Amino acid sequence: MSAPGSRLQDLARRCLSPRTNERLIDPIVADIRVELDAARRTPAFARARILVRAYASFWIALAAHGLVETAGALTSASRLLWAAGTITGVSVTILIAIPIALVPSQFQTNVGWTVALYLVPQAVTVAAPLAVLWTVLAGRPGSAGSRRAIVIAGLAGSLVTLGAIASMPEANQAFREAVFTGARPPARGANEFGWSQLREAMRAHPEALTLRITYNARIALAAAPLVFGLVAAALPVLSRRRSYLQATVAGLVFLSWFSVVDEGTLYRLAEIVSPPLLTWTPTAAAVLCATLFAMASRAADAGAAGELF
Amino acid sequence: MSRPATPTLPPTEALILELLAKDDEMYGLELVEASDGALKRGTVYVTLGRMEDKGFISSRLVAPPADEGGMPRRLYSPTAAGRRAFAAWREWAKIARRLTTETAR
Repeated sequence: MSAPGSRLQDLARRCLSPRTNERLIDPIVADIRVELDAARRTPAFARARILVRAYASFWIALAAHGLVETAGALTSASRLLWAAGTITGVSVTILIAIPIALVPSQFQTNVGWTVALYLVPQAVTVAAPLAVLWTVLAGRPGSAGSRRAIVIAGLAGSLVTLGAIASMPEANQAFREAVFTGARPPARGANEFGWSQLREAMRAHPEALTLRITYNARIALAAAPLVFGLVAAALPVLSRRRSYLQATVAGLVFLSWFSVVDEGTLYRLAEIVSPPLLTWTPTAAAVLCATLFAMASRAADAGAAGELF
Repeated sequence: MSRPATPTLPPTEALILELLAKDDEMYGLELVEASDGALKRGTVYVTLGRMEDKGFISSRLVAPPADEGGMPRRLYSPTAAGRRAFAAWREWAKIARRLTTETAR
């Protein structure tokens, strides 16, 4: 005859995680055996009562555990929804802001405002990494499930950026032609080249820094959301706090590179450091910023715990 | 900067910490028996698992006496963080009670 609870234990071993078995099932089965052992000299009826009560508690524990796990999964889902909503919100804000900021200076003719839509792909290449960075810092995930979700969000951000980069050359050129007032349509610049055209141009003019900077910037921008997602997955180890201020500062650090550093400075810098290093600088600076914030938050957490207790 | 979250301690967790503060180490079943029906056999291990995740308690496996056989049992004890959390919660509850009484007057 098998020991009391061993069949339930076998079933649980097959269906539940080792952690659940260790924390929930094994203690209950151990209790069943202890109680029955203590009651071995009592009448069979009393022992049956103990057994019924113990088995009932086993199933109640399992149901309670299921409810707790479901609640945890729902929390992860709401975090994911929050992340998706924030990414969309930040992206839309930037997508509206960038064309509005760029169009007035470029307008030389009375073309409709809809030409600003041509600038959307270019705006996405900055908006998507920035949105992912802001989201992962403002809503730092805590559970393993939400960490996976934020890595997936980072990957999705990278794919969106790659898509935007693919459509950007034609969209940019369409914008230039729409606002151009001269006799001949403007020639394509580095930003108006596709990947293959850019590679060909680089082979033909290896000394042209503009081409190399543009090419490497595209790679760095496309990789940035995934890098931010991976960093965010590691950050909860340091801290579980969230801070909108920190997220905004890190976002501005990333964005300032594209808005503050002018082309002349960029080319001068590219002569000193290599274009790949130069174009990965904003990503590296944002990651450094986020890591420093997380370490500061952990120190603050430790301080707050000290004050509390 | 974000503020540290206000500490909360559900009644069952507070009760477990209170019982463990008295006896230092207890089995799950002992906690149920000592709680006079406040803790249920069906849910006590779920609560204990959650408290272990929070770092309020720790547990260790204890081998059964050689003459009894059976399987190892899990013995629970409060951690330093658990004791401090319970002390802070008790202070907070005292203040809340006093404020409620004064407001009612």
